Amino acid sequence: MSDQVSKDIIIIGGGPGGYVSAIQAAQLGAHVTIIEKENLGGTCVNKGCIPTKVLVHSAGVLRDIQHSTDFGINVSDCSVDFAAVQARKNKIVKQSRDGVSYLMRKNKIHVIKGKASLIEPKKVRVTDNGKSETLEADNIIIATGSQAGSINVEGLNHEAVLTSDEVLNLESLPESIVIIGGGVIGLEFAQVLQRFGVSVTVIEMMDHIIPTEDDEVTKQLEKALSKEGIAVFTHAQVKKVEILERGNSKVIFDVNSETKTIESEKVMLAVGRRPAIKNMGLEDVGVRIDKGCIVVDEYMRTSVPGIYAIGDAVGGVMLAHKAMSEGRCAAKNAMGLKNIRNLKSVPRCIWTSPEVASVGLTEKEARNLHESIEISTFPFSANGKSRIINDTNGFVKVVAETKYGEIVGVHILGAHATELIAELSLAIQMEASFQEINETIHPHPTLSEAILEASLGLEGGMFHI
Amino acid sequence: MPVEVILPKIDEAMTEGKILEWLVKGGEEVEAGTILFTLETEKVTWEVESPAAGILSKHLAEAGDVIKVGKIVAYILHAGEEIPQTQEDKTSSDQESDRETTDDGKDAGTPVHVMSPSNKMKASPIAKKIARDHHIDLTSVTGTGPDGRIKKIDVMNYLEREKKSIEIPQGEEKRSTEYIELSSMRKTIARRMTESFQSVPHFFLTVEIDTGELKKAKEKLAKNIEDITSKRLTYTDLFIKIVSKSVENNPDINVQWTDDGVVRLNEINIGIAVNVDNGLVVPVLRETSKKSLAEITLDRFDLVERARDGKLLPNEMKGGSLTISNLGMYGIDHLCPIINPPESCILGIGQTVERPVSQDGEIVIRPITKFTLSIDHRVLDGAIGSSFLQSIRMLTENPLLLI
Repeated sequence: MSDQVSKDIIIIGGGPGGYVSAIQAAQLGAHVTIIEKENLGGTCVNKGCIPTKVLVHSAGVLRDIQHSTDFGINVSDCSVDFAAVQARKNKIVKQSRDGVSYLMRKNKIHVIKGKASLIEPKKVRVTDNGKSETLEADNIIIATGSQAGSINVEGLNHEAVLTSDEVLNLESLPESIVIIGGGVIGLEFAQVLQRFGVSVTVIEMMDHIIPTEDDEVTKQLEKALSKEGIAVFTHAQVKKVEILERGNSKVIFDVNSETKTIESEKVMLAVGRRPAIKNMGLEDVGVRIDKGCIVVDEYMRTSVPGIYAIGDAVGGVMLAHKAMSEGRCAAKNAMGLKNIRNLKSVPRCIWTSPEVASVGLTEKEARNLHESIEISTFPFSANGKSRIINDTNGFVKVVAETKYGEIVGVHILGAHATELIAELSLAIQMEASFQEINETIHPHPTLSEAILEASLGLEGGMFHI
Repeated sequence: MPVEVILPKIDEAMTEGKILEWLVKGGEEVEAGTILFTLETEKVTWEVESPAAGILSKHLAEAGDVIKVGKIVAYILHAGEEIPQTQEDKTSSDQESDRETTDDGKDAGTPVHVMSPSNKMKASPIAKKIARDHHIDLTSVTGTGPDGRIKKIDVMNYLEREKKSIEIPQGEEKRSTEYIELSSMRKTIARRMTESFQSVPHFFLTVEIDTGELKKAKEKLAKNIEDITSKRLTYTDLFIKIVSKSVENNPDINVQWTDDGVVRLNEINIGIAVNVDNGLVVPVLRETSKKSLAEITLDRFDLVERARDGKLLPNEMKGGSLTISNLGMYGIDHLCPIINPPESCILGIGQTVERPVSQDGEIVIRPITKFTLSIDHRVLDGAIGSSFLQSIRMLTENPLLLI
């Protein structure tokens, strides 16, 4: 890339989208400055992906120990040291954050702490503790991420109602919690807390939990969560939250035209996230915003030449890996390479148990988009490795269009689904047909054989069922 | 083991062929050597024989289908055997890449060569499938994926453009134009002539030659030749003889340009342009300088007849020193033909016209024919071209020198 003209690039936001953009631009020869108002790593490293998965894993270990006799292991005493769990989480978060700092130094990326706002299309003012400085750049990449969303319900803005950030930092476990919102965040927390011994209720407004996922997946996941003891109410409308004098809360909601009241020690609001793009001068310099998201084209360009935006700030699926992919795309385009944003093979992952991972279209979407589709589903109960690990819940569901056999969607519910999905992201990215999967040798005994089996079902039949 | 019947490669440059007609139905018994189907390539029609004895499977390609070289079009089965389904799929998908990673010099008779190349074409599996379905040559599709990889959308866009480009505007007059499907021969002529006219710098030398003596000679020889060959002697035969002798007199003209250097031909082979249904072919007479007029007449008759029946072998249209294009019988006075590559010249002969000419200070009426030599100026210059035409003039005006 020696023929690249040296460029100054400012990246606003040090989350996964921002720091990856920065590294990409630096690799292409740019002088990069990254502006972060809190901690490098953003939501992902500090209060999202990384810390929640640490908790999920601890809860999983606890569950394994509780079921150790299934494997012939007797464990006599087992308890949760929540302070130690949190300490471990904080340590891993710090390691990850330090890792990002190191990557910035290694790539000679200038990091400035402060809040950024645009004063001209190519001028950024950074303020921190009353001090401010103005920076100029050839290109700017907005990677400011998102923040917890809210809904307009009486009592919900009370400070006793917790956000995911606050639940993450609880010093002790509550006895009970009501989680408003049966999306990804709500469900992951629900299961962690439930496994740690908290009595958990989830209230979801839509007909199903995680309504964006395939119906079969969400139905079976709902069953699995209920079976673990989580009370799930769907099609339920929260009317009011009352904070009682002794600190407890009362959540009043309608379900099936019946009003219910649940009292719990804590209430958590997990109704999705919205782009964090307010009060930073975007509208003033002419950046177009629609429905709360920055509008970008397929090259991640905003309506203002030289300004790019990526990740949660542009809406869509709010996942770190999507932000990273868009970050690389924006940085390449800023550096004069042509790169088109990829939305086709973004995997969607939920770290519940069983895990959910999917890529491409749901069955319903595929039916709307394609003339004719074929579906094949293989249950993990017929997979050898699933029996070995004693985790046979779930299935792999492959959706292919009929004419050329192109794989248009895959949905996995089950153990390690989030690890398994990468193969299918590749398949969809490569425009593979099920024949390509069928020709690919999958290792035995592994969970990945379930993918092969489901795919074989589209060509004459499965072998192990 | 079922024996594969593949679309054979009967010519180095051949990449695909059209199945004209199946002569054996699926389920019928065949011997090794039974003609299974007729095949039209860019240049010839060819009969494809069964590679083994057995029962012909169902046809995996229909009459009219354009098929890539090496693709399996049927199997010869023995009792109890069935078509190996996956094998067939695999071959066809491999074939797609085979074509892209062109590897010339393959012996198309052995399917092993067809199976071996790996999937190296930078195109997605679905893009390849769609391309195969619509007979799209992926090399003409621009890929927009990483490093130019061809994606589904690229093939779809290509198809869309193709469709638009052949769509006929539907106005009140329903059809003012009509789209005619291109034959392989038409495609080949178009490709070769465009290539020649665009890349070969042509120049043209014209002479007017008195053909009175040649006419007399023909009249004298005709009976004799017919007695020997039972074929009619034509002017073309005489011109072949004259041109061969002129090449012999001017060996420097028997060369071809290549980017690596000039190739000298050690044989004198003369091509003759033959008008056939919907096109033109150029069969080549071999070693004409060593042949008698009677032998030339016989060769010419055989080649022209088979050319018109579409039964020329590919190598019978190769290796020419130069080509003769005689449009005299169509009443053309003068023509400047395009060189038939890789040859370096082509001689255009017009009709013979009675014209007043000055002879020894007197105006006399003589039969005059215009000869025009189109020459590849990369390899030949005016002097050698002129010398060659002077030789043609001398021999035409003095046919006895041919003996």
